[in-house]
Amino acid sequence: MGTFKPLNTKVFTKTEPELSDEAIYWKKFTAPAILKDFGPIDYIDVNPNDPYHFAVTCSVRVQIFNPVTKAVYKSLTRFKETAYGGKFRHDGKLICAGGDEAEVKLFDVGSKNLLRIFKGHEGPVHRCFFCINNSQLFSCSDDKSAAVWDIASEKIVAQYRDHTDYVRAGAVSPVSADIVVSGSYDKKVMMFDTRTNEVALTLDHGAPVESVIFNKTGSIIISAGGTDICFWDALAGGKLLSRITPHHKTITCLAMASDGLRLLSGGLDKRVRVTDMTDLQPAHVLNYSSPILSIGIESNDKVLAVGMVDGLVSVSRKIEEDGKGKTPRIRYTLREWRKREQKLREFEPLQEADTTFTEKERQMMSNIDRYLRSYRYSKALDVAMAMYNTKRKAESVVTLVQELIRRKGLATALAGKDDHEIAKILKFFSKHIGNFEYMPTLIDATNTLIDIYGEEINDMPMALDACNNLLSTIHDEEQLTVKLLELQGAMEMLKIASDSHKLAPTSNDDSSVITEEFPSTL
Amino acid sequence: MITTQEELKLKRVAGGSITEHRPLFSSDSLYIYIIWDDGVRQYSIKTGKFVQKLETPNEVVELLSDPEDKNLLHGFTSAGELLTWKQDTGFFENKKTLALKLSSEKKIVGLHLSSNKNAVVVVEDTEKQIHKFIKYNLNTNEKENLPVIGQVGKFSSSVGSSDKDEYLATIHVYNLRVVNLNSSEKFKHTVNPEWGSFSCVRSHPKQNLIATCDQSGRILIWRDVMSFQAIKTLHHWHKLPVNDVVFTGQASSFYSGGSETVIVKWWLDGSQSRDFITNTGASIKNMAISPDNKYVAVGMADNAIHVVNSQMDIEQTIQHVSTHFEERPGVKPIVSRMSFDPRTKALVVNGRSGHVQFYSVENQSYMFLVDVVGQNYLNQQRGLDMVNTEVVLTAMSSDGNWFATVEERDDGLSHLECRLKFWSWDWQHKFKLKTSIENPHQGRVNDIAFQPVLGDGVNRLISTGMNAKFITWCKSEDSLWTLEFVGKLDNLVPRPVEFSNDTSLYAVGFEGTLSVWETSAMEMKSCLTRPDASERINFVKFGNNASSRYLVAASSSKIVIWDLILLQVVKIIGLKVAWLAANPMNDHMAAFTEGGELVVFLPSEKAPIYRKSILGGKKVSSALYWPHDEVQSNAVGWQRLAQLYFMTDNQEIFTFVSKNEENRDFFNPVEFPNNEGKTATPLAAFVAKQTLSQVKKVEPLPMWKQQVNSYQGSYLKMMCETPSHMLPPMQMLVGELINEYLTAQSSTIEKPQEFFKAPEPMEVIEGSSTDSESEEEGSKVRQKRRKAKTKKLRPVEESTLQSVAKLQFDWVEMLFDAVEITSDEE
Repeated sequence: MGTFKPLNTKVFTKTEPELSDEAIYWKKFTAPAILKDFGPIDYIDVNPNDPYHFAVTCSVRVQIFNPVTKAVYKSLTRFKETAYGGKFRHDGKLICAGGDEAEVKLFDVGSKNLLRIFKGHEGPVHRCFFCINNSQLFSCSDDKSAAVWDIASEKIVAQYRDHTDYVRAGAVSPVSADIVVSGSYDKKVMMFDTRTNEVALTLDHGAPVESVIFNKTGSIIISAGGTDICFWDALAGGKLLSRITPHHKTITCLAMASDGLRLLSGGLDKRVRVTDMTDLQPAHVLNYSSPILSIGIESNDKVLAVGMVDGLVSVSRKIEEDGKGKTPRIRYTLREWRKREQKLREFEPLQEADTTFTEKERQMMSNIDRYLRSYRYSKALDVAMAMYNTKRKAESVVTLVQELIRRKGLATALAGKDDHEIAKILKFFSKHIGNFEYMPTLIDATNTLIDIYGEEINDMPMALDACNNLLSTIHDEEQLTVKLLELQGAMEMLKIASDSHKLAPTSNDDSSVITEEFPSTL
Repeated sequence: MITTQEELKLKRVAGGSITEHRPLFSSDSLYIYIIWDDGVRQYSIKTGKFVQKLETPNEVVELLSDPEDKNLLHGFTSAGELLTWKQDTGFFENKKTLALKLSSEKKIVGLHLSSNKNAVVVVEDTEKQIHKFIKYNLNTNEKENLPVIGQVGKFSSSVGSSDKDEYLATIHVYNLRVVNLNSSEKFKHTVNPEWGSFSCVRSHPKQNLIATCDQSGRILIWRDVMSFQAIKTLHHWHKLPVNDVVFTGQASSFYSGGSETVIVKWWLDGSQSRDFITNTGASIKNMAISPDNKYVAVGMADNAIHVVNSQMDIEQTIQHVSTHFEERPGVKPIVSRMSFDPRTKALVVNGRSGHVQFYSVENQSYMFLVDVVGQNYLNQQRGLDMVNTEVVLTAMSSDGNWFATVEERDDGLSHLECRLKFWSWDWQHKFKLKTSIENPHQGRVNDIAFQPVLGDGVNRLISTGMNAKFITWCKSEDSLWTLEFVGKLDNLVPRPVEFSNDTSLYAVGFEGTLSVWETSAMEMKSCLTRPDASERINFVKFGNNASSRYLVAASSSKIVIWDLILLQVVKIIGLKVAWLAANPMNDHMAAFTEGGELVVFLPSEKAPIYRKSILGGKKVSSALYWPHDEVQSNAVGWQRLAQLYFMTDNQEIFTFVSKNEENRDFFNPVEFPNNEGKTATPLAAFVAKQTLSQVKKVEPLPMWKQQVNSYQGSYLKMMCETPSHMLPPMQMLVGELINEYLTAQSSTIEKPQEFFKAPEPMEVIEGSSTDSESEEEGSKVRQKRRKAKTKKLRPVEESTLQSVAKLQFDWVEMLFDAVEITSDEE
C-alpha cells in the first residue's frame, strides 16, 4: 500500500530452488583447495586440537597437512608397504596406522618417531583406533579378526575371530573404553566387550560393511555398506532404528559433523551427502570430481577434507563469523555510508512527547522504475536499452516493453527517436523475437513501432537495414515453426496409431433412460 | 431420505459495501462509525477492530454528529427517522420520525444538520432525476421547501455556516447554488462549461468556504459565497473527476481523492504545496475528517476505509470483503470462484484488482490479501482504456499447502497475457510464489483443479485451456511445478475438470463430451457422450461416499448423471444450472439454477431433498459447501455436516439458515469492552490474564466420551472397556444398553412427549433379549447399576431413547459384521 511496485523481471528468468539454511551453512566453507597424491586416499583423520592438522593416509605414507597453508606439516614414511587408516589419538600427539605389513605402527607426531609396532595380525590391517582410555588400541584386519592391544606392552589383550570375511571397518565407543565395534565384508557388524571378551551384538547390515561409526553419545551405531546406511540402537540390543539410502552407489565412508548433529557420508557416486541426525532426512549434498573414499571433518566443521580415488584431497575450512577467522571488510556504498553517518548524527528521541514521527524511509528503486513512476516512458526505454548494451539483460527490456504495453505508453516511448536509436531497438527485437517467452511482447512492440515509423523508415538507412534483418529473422522463425509442426504431425500420427487399439469410444444405448423432471414441489 | 422441507431463509454472511456512505468519527476521535448491512457499526481506530453494532429499524442513509451535544450520534434512515444514540455508552436514546409526507416518486437520500433546530432533508425525485431539499425544524416540526435543486449524486449538497448565517450549497451541472437557511436568500455561481460539470461539493462547517470539484479534475475553493462576487481559487492536480473533498478544522488544508487512487493533501496557505499517498490500489469514494483533525477516513472502492493521519501515513485500515471493482464503463467486475482454505478456515476469492483475499467466515473478518499479479494498479486515463491484470481462477489444495492462481489480461489489442502461478503456504501466514508459468495454454485457461492430497503426498494440478488441451502439472522434488502430461480429445475445448475423491480418476468435460481418465496411467478410461451432446458441459462433479459410482455433469439446460461402472446414463434432470456444488462430507449435491432455485439432490435418488426458489433474484457466481467442525444438530438435515455458501456477482456471501437457527449467533463477533482505551490499564489486563491462567481449562471431550464418562460404573463402561473381540454378539448388547439408559431414568419420567408411543419399554427390551446368557449378564449388571448413582436424563433424551428402544437393531449388527469383514481384509 502506498508503495510503487517495481518491475518484476523475474517473470522471464528461470526459477531456481531456494537456498535452504543448510545449504547456506555449507556454502560458508572456503573454496576447496585441491591436494594431489599418488594412489587412492585411504583414510583422512583430523586432529581434534587447534590448528586441526589432518592426516592423509595414502600409498606408503601418512602425511599430516596444515589446513591453513595446505602444506605438509609432517610426513610419516616408515612403511615398506601400503599404509592404511592413520588415526590421531584424542590429544593429537600420537598417531597409529595399519598397513599391508600386517602391523599396527604407533608414531609420535612431533618427532615422527616410530614408538611401537604391534605385530600379531596375519593379514593387512585396514583400520586402527585409540580407545578412549588412551592405553589401548583397536585394530581390524583382513585376517578376519579384530584385536585390542595394550600400548605399553605391545601385547594383544583380546582378539575376536567371529567374522568370516575381511574386517574393513571399525569404531571405538566414545563413552566406554571397553566397547569396540567392527564391520566386515561378511555383511555383519559386531560389537565386542573387552570385559567379557565376547561378542555383545551381531548386526546384519545386508551388504559388505565399508564404514562403522558411533554417534556422539555412543548410543547409536551407524554402519555403511552397499548403498545403505543403517542406524542401530547400541543400548537396546541392536535394534535397527532406521535405514536410509542416500547414495546410488557404494558408500565408502562416514563422519559425524556439526557436533554430532549431522552425518556425512561419501560414496562412489562422487557426492557427500549431509544427513540431519534429528530426523534422518537428507539436508544437503556436496559434489566432488571423483568417487569419494574418505572424509575427514573436525567435530565442529572447522576443517573438511575429502579424499578421492584418484589421489585428490579437497580441503576447505569454515569461515568463522565471530571475528576470529577471516571477516570480510564491510564495504559501504556512498548511499549506505551517508545513511550510516546520518544515523550517527541522529539525536536520541525525546521520551516524553505527544507524538513522535519517524522519518519515512525512501523507497529504493532503479532508474527505470523511477521514470516509469513519473510517466516518463521514453526516458525509461532509453535507460533500459542503455543497460542492455552494457549488461546484456534482455529480460529487463522485455519486461519494460510489456509494462509499457499495459500502460498504453509504448507509442509514447517509441516516438521521437532518431535513426540510430530505432535501429538499435529493431536489432534488439530481431535478436530476441525467436525466444518463445519474449515473442508475444516483441511482436506487439514491433507492430507499434511500424505503426509509428512506417512512413518515415525509408529516410532512415540504419533502421531500414535493421528492419530487413528483422524480416529475415521472422522468415527463418516461420520456416522453423513449419518444420516443427510437420514433425509434430508425424509424431502424433504414430502416437495415435499406437493408442488406437486401447481406446474404443463408449457408445451408450440411451433408450432405457427417460428424461425426467424433478417434481417441482414435494 | 430426509425430505423435511423446512423453511429456510437467506442470511448474509459477508459482503456489501461499507464505503457507500461517508463514515463518521466519534467526538473523541477514538472510534469510527460506518454504515453496513442492517446497522451502524463502531470500530476502534487504534486497533481497527469491531466494537459494537447499533441496531437500526431501516436502512441508514446518513450519519451525523450532533452540533450541540458532542455525545450524541444521529442516524437518519430512508424512512425519515432520526435515530439518536449516546456515543460513550452506545445506548439508543430516542427516535424521531420526521413528518415529511413524500409522494411515491420521491425518496430520502440524505440529511444535513445545521443546528439543533434546523435540518435539511435531501430528497431525490426519481422522475425528474434531481435532488430537492426540505428545511425541517426539529423543534416545531415546521417544514419548508427550499428553492434550490441539486444534481443526483452522493455529494451534491452540503451545509456550512458563515459568521452569522447558515447556508446550503448545491451543485447542478455548471451551477453552484447557495441558499441562506435563515433568510432564504439565493446566490448562483456559474462556471465555464468547457471544464465539465461539477462532481461534488463540500462546505466548511465553520467558515464561509466551499470546495467544488468538476469532471476535469479541478478543485475550486470559493470564499465569500453569500455574495454574487465570490472569490475562487483553482487547484488542479487531478486528471480524473474528484469524488470527494474535505476541509481540515481550521481550513488550513484540505484533502481530495478520486479515481487516480491517490490521496492528496492540499495546503491553503497560498503555497500550492501538496502531499500524496500514491498507489492505494483503489479509487477513492468518500472522505471524512475527525473532530481533532488528526485523522482522515478515506472510503475506497475496494470496500476498505483507510484512516490516514496528518503525516499522510495510513494508520489503520478497516476492511470488509475486498471487492473487485471495474472502472471501465460497461465492463463487469470479475468474481473468481470461491475456494476453501482448510488451514486458515478462510474463503478464498479474488479481492481488489490483482489480489486474492482470505476471508474468515467464522469470525466475519477479512484476514489478508495476497498480491498475485505483483503489478501496480493502473488507473483509468482520459481517452485510454486501461486494462489491469486480474485473477480469474483460484484453486486451493485439499491440505491447504498449495494454492494456484490464474491471472489474465486481455485488452483486445495486444497479445493475451495469462499466467498460472503456484503458491506455497509459508509459516509467516502468507503464501509464497514458487512457480509462475507464462501462457500455459497459449490462450485462456478455462479451469484448474488440484488433485486431493492423500497419504502418498502427490501434488498435481490439471489446467484446461482454449488450445484444446489439458495439462497436468506435478510438483517436483524441489517444490517447483513442472509439466507432466498433455491430454486432448480431438480438437474439442476442455472446460471443467474434476478429480474423484480417491484421486484414482479425473473427469474432463470436452464441450459436450465427458472423458474419464485414470490418474496413475494418464490414460483415458472412457469417453461418455450422449446423442444430443450439443450443449457444453459447464460443471463436472464426482459423487462422494455412497454415490461415488456416479459422475454428475451439468450443462446450461440439464444435469446428466452417469454411472461410472455401467457407463450408462442413470438420470437426466432438466435444470438450467448456474452453479453446481458437491458436499465433501456426504453425497449431497446442490445446484443453483438460473431461475433462482436451489436444488439439493442425491445422485442416486429420484426426488430432490430440497427444492425451492429462495435466491430472491440474486445471481450466483459461485458456491461451496463448508464443512462444519462438528455436526450441527439444529441445522437443516442437508446442512448438518456442511454449510452451503454462495457468492453473488457483487461479492456478497450468503448462506441458508432455518428458523431455529436464525436467532443463533451464527458467528460470534469478537467482543470488546466498551471502555476500550479509556479505563483499562495495561496492569489491569495483566491481572486479568493471571486469574485466567490459574483456572485449569478443561478440554471439552467429544460427545461420545462425555456420554461414556457420565455413566461411570455402568454397563456401558464395561462394554467400552472390554476388548471388541471379547464382546458378545451385537444383538445381545444393544437391548441391554438401551435398558441401561432407560431404567435408571424411569423414575424421573413425568410426562412423555407427544411422539413417544412406547409405553412399556421394559417389556419390549426384555422380550427382545431371549438369550439366557445375556439375560444372566444383564441381571447382574442391573443389580450393579441399582447400586450405582443414577444420572438424570432430560425428558427429550429419554423419549428419544425410548423410541430407539423400539427399533430393530439388526442393522447395527450388520454394520458391525461389515466392519469386521473389512478389518479382516486389512
